[in-house]
Order: sequence, then structure tokens, then C-alpha cells
Amino acid sequence: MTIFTIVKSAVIEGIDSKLVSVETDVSNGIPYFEMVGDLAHNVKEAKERVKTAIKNSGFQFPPKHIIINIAPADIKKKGTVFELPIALGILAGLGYVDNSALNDRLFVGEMSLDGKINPVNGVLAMVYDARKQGIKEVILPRKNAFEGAVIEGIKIIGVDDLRQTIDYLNGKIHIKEENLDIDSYIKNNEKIVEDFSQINGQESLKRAIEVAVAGFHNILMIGPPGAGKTMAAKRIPTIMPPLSKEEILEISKIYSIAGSLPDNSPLITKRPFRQPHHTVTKNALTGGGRRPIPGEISLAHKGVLFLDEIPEFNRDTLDILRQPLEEKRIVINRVYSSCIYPADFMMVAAANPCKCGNFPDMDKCTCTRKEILNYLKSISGPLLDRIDICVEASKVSYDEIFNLKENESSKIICERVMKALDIQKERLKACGKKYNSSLNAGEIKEFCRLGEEEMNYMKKVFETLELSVRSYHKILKTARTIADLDESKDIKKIHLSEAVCYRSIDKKYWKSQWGM
Amino acid sequence: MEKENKYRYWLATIEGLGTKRYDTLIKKFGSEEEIYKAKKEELMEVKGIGEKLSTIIIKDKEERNLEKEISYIEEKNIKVYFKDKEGYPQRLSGLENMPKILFVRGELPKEKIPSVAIVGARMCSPYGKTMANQCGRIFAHYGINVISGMAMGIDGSAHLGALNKGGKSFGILGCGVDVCYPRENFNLYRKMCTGQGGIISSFLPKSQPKACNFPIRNAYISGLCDLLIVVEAKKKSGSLITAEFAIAQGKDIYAFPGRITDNLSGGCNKLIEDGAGIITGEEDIEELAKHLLELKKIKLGGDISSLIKLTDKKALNEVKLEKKELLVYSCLSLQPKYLEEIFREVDLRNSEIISILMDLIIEGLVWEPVKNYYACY
Repeated sequence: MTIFTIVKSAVIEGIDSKLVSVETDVSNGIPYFEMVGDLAHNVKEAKERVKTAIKNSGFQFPPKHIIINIAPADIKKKGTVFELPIALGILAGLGYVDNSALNDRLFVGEMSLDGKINPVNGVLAMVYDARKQGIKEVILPRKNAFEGAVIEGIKIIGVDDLRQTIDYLNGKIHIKEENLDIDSYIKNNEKIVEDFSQINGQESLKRAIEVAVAGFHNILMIGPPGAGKTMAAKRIPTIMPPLSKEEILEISKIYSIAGSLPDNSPLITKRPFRQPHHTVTKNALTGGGRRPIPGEISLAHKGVLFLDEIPEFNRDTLDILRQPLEEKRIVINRVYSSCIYPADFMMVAAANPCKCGNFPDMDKCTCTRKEILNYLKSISGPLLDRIDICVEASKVSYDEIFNLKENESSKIICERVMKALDIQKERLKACGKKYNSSLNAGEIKEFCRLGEEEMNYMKKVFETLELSVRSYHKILKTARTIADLDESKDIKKIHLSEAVCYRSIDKKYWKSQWGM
Repeated sequence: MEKENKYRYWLATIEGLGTKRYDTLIKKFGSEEEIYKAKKEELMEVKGIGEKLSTIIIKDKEERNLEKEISYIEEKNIKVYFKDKEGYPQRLSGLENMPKILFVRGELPKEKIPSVAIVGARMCSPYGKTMANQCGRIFAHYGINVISGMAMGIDGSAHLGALNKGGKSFGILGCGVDVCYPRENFNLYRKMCTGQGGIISSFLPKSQPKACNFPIRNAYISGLCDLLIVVEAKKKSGSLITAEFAIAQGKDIYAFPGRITDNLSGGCNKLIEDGAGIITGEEDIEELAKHLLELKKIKLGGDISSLIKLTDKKALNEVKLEKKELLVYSCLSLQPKYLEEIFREVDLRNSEIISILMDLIIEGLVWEPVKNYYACY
């Protein structure tokens, strides 16, 4: 006698999910239990867990010939999501549950030895795909239920243990469907702790950041420790336009797969702010590993990637950022597979001006000339090329700290930023781009056209400051954004001069410091 | 090179043979040639020359290729001067512990023309740099030689000021005269080698800079000058070593005063406390220059009025700044000021201030020594 069952489950590939079938064949014969289908080590471990969990849940586990295949067999399976489907497949084979109860349902879940069902990563993507594939109901660990409920139009059932699941499938008990109203959830989570109004003084820093956000330019802040670089960076997401529902889902999916969703919150409703430590490895930054998961740059998708103390980062690690900064995604190639993670982030970097942090206060700076030059030189050149705006932050004075003057709130700044972004979107519609920062040389010529007076002005600036062509282009892009913030159709002198003031730096620049 | 000088060159460049024992050897053997020809046993017989030194001398003689070294010196057009012989600077010959040999590219400072040494910290403030530069300009304007160590910071600025004014400047190096150290000052080096002064060193050509060379070099700087000016120096610094030598050699010292909280002024203030002259304005520098010329009984030709002073506000008016520009310009000083501070001090819109600053930079009135820090020239 042979009983064959199919239980549907899902596997994560990149940031998407694919449907897989867990096929179970239970027959008489020599007692045997084997699992096939290109399984990773941690999938194979399921064998012992499932066997014990079935026994401990009070079911008989007679000596039978059991073969499990997870199809399609050419996809590498990893993770622990298949344990519940495997257990159900076996129990169906043993007659504890009717085969028909398994149809149109998708199962995911990890199991404890006592039959309890533990949460897994990537539920959001799986449910999203399941709905697309026409699945009616998803049965998943109770702790993941809230996350699954984010996707509308599909029934989500959260279960605690194997026994309960079987009872539910047999219609013995009723489990309430999980529901979540996304809109009200987003509204309830709008509470923002950080705000730009908390920063006193630092007008130039704040302005530079506003410009950077308004054109999605990458920005570098240079200043001594305690100047408020980190404080300002943490507030950048608060002046970015609010996320759309699609963006929230997209970001949450990435976090779900990476297992980085905070406890009890199924959605990332705010723009991410990621601050990897400077000891971060290449794989942790870009994602990857033998079983690829999204890295910091993907977790910063649609948000801010803050690289504090950028000269301390490993040069090779930072060089990897070149591709994602251009393409807004990262392709991770491995021998057997390649996967693509989105990585559309704004890079915010901060650096001390020298090792001791006190330059240009020559009185306090204890570094030698060479040390100062080498310190900032260690920032990767190609990365520096992708930074449009650079601003110097200085220590805040006592007067400023205790200044009771009302500062502009993030909300007001955000409104200006959104206006500028709308103008850009409209203008760049034809070339399929959204931000001034992404313009190439040809497009700069077209969209950042200067009047005669401005042209002469830039010529003088170019000669006086001995600019390179690259920094000239960066200045034009930044000036375009400043003009957009000003809601001015043409780029005027005042916009240009401000862009020159916040111009980025290049290798030559370090040399010219103090005429060193 | 003459045969006589060849042996002299050899003996003067033996590492480990000091001035005193040099003289002892000469006294015993009569001439450098005799010493060259002497055997180890003969050398050891001399009182004060032990076995160790004789071994060094003999070894040096055997290992070095004198012909090659001399042809290199001649090829590079390096002049060689020996102590107590023709051409050797009189300023040095009267002093103790002065080099037996001097290598020179370009020329030596003329005896009749006064020379001033301007020294200071390598890591200096922009203010110090400007002052050193102006100091160099003023002395060059009066035709006075400017001597310094060709280091970064104060030294380099002083050279630059003098050279830009068309004057003569002399760099005393802690390495061979054919080695440009630091490399960044190659421009100064080239100018001094070719007509506008000279590069002077007591170290063998091709020798690389060593830390222990610099205090020795400092003694030569103070030795070659008639007057020493310290612009910016910390309490423990090479410039103060130079000043100590100058005191021992009986030279006049002047220093720029500074705020008591500034480390970079610590050394200068200490010198003033110890009795050095104080420079309180550009007039003082001019007075010093005139005084030096009087001492040497030289009359200055040329047009004195062409010298633009830093404190001269008349030059400013000539540029004819607009009211708003003047508002921004007047809040700047030689000390770089951070953009934020300018925002606070000037009652204009931030973007307007930035625009004005850029204009001032283009007009050459303001520079940006460090990003977002602005200073007057």
C-alpha cells in the first residue's frame, strides 16, 4: 500500500518567493526515511526534528518506508520552513489528516521536538507570492501571523503546535483568521522621535542635508567628534518623503527575508536608517554568504546608509558600493546561483578631518602633516566620485546648545523637499529618471543649462578654484537641485554659488588644504 | 677638483671624525694628503686617535670611490667649500662646531649683504603662514637675504615670500643638496638653485634626511644669519633649538607674540620672556630691515612705495567693495573662520552670504584654506 501526498510550501530566492511542493510517499516495506530535492544541511536536519515532534505530539510513527521529495528539485532549498509541511505530509500519509484538507493551502513553519511551531524568516514574500499563485489560505507559525496578514486577499491562519494544526485541518477546532489594517497600522506607527528641530545651530550642515535629500545626492560630512554629524544623519530619514504603501511592502519584504523585522511589527513603516560599523565585512554590507541574505545596503533600501568614520572602513569593502550606487541594486553571483537585491539608498558618510579630529584647529591638532593628508586620502577615490555634496561641520558653541530659538521642524523641511522632488520628477519624466543626482553628462547639458551671465560666473569659479570637470558637473547637478528647492526654473548665480560652497572634494583638494 | 682638495674632501666627509680630532691629525701629519697615505699603525700612534677610529679611517679610504663621488659633485654643479679656506662663509668661521665642509647649489649668501633667518613650526596656522610670507617679502624688498630650512609651514612660506618678491633666499638642508626634501617644496628648491639664492648643506650629496641631521642644520641656519626671527613655534621645537644656537652665537632674536593659550605661540612667548625682541607690527619688520642695512652700510635703491602692507586698508578701498560685500569681508580675518560663524555674525540671508564669499574668492580677496573655512589674504 502506498499513500502519496503533496503539501505546498515556499522557498525564498533573492527577495522573491517560489512555490515548492513537498511530496511524501509512505509505503510498507523496510523501515526507511529519506529526503531528497537539492536540500541544504539545515533542511536535512528536519528529518530528526519532524520524527520526534510527531511522536511527542501523541501520534503513532510506525516503521514505514518514507520518501520525501521537495520539488522542483533543481532549486537549492535552505532554511527551516519545510518542517511543518513535511510533518503534515507524513501525517497525511499515515491517515491522520485527509489529503483534501491540504489542497489550496500553503504551509510554512519550523518545529520544535515537542511539536511546537516556531517562526521563520521571509513570510511576507511567501504570502505575497502565494496570493499571486492563487493559494487561498496560508498556515504559518503564530508569531509570523501578523506579518502574513499584511497581504490582503488571502486567509492567514497562525498555529501554535502540530496537534492544533491537525485538529484545525480536520475541522475539529476553529482558528480565527488574522487580520491587519495596514493604513491604520501605518498611522499608529507615525510617532517620530527624531526631528530636525532638535539640532541647534549648524545651519550650513542642515542646509546641505536638505539639498542632498531634495536631489537624492550622496553627502559627506567632515567635522570633529561631537559636531553632531551622527545626530544630523539620524534625522535624514525624517525629511525624506513618506513611504508609499508599495515601498513599505518592498522594504518589509527585504527585512522579513533577512530576519531583521523588529518583534511584533510586521512592517517597516519608516525610511530605514542603517549604520554599519566600520569593521563590516563585504558580505555583511552587500549581502550574500553561502545562503545569500540581504546585506546592509539592501536593508537601507529607500532609506539612508550611514557610513560613520568612513576613512576607517576597509577600502575593498567600500569599493563594492560602486555598482549598487550606480544601478540601485546589487547582484550577488555565486557558483550555483545569483540573486538580485534592491539597494536604492542615499549614502551619507561622515569623517573626522584627521586622526585626532581637531584639524583645522592647529593649536589642538596633534597629527603630523602626513597623517592629516593620509587620513582623508584613505577614502576610496571611486566612492568619493559618487559623492556630490560635502559639508564641514564644526563644534557647536555653548550659546547654540542653549539657544531657545525655535528651529525648523522636519515636517517643514520635508514639504520643501517633496516639492523639489516633484519638480524633478516632472522634468526628468522623459529620460525615466527621478533625481537630479542620477543625471549623466549629456543630461546635465540638457537640464542644467546656464544663462550667459551664469556661464561667465562658472568660468571664473572654474579657473579660480581649479576645479576638475567631474566636480564641475557635480556642482551643476547640485545647483539644479538648489534651484528646484527655490522653485526657480533657471539656475541662477545664487544657486551656483551655494552649490560651489557645498561642492564635493577630490584627491587634489586634500593637497591644497593649508597649501600643504 | 684639485688634488689637494680631493684629500681634504675625503677627510672632511669621514663619518665619525670630529672637528677636534681632525685638527689633531692635521697637526701631526701636516696635510690631508699625508693622512690619506698614512698606515693604520701610524694613525694609531697619534694621541687621541684610538684603534677604533683608525680602523674607520682606513676602511673609509678603502671602500669609498673618491673619483666617482667627485665627478658626481662636479657633474651636478655642486660647489664645495672647506673650513678656513677660500669662499667659506665668514659668519661661520668664527663659530664653534661649524662644518668642515659645505656643499652648495646656487650660491652662498654674500658677506656684505645682511641676512635674516625666518624659522617656525611646520604645522603652523594660516596666520603664521601669512606673517612668514610677509616677513620674507619685506626683507626681500630691502634686498636682504632670507635664510630658512625649506621645511613645510613657516620656513617654506618665508622662502616663498622672498622669492616671489624677487629677492634671494637660502635653504639650509638636513640632507644632501641634491635631495629636495620635502618634495612638495620643489618649486622653492628649483628657484633657489637657479639664480635666486642657494641651497646649502653640510651633508654628503645623495644623503637622505635623517632626524639627527636637523638640529645640526639648525645651528648652521642661526650661524649664517645676522638676525633670527621666530614666527610660530611650540615650546619644544626645532625652532627653539635654532634660537638657542643663535643665543650661543650672539645673534639677535626677534619673535612674533601670540595668545597665551595658543600652543603654537608658546615658544615665541617664551623667547620674548627670555629677552628676545618683539615684533608688534609690520613697521617693526621694516625698522629691522633698515637697521640691518645701516649696520652693513648699504643704501637701498629702488622704489620703496611698491610694498603693500597687510594692514593697509587703502588697498582694500581700491577694490571698491559693495556695501554687502564689505559687511562679509570685514568679519573675516587672517585666521580662517568657519562658515557657520560668518552666518551668525553677518545679518544677511545664508545663501546670499555664500554668494558674496564666492565673489570675494574670485576677486582674490579671500581664500578657503580648508573646506568651509574662509580667511583674508
